[in-house]
Amino acid sequence: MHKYRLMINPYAIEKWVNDMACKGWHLKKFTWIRFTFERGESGSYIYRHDELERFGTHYEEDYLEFLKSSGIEQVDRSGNFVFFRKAAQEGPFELYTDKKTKLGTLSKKMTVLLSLILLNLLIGITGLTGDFSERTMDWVGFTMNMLNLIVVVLFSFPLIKLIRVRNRLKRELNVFSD
Amino acid sequence: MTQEHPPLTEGVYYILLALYEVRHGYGIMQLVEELSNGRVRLGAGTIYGAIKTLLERGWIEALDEDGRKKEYIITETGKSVVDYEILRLRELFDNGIRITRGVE
Repeated sequence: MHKYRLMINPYAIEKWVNDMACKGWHLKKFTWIRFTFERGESGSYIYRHDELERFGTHYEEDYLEFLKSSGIEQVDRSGNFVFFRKAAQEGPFELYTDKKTKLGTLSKKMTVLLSLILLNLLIGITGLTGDFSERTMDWVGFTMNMLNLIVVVLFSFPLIKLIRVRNRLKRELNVFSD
Repeated sequence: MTQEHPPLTEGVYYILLALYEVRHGYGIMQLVEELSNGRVRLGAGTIYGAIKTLLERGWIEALDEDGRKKEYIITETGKSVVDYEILRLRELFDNGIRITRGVE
């Protein structure tokens, strides 16, 4: 079965993949938007998403080998996005259990999202200002600029969610170390 | 007692303790869970990140690869960090008992 989702907020996608696994649909392959599931036993695996830091380096091979030796199975990889899984009967499975790493990862994602939002906002507003100042309306340009603004709105929701998660983690770090 | 090092995280403290004997990543994970009676379960990504940092600081070292699994052991510097941490934890413990139980 194929499903299509835009992977903007990887945490939401991870939750969705695990919800699918609970319904008996296990992730087999994925790209940025296309996710392929196959039928299996409900809830037999826990899935985790990870984003490799440095693409194609020795570190990466070492890390993947380390996870493999820890009994973690790599499901599929698309660019530097990877999905792993572990049998649910082996107990809870998390890749990162420390808040500092989680905060670092969140900050990187937020920077990427914010850059995309600002870039699209700038292009959209500059373009629309130009469109309206012309005597004849450039409908192609207008549509493109509106798309820029739609991207701004689409990316703003996951950004707000990530900010909330980061703030919660920060508040916890004020009292608890890990 | 002067502050030689900032407090270690629970995870790093347990990883250093686990490496008083030669272990690979999965071995560390299992021992930490066992020592803490299942309370502390370190994620593989977290352990890997900590190992990288501890290697850079010279608190642990990697041994020649045995097959495919990399093994690690604590260094003398790492042991002195653990000794300091134990003193710090003892101070916390002693003060906690003294104040909450009224023990002088």
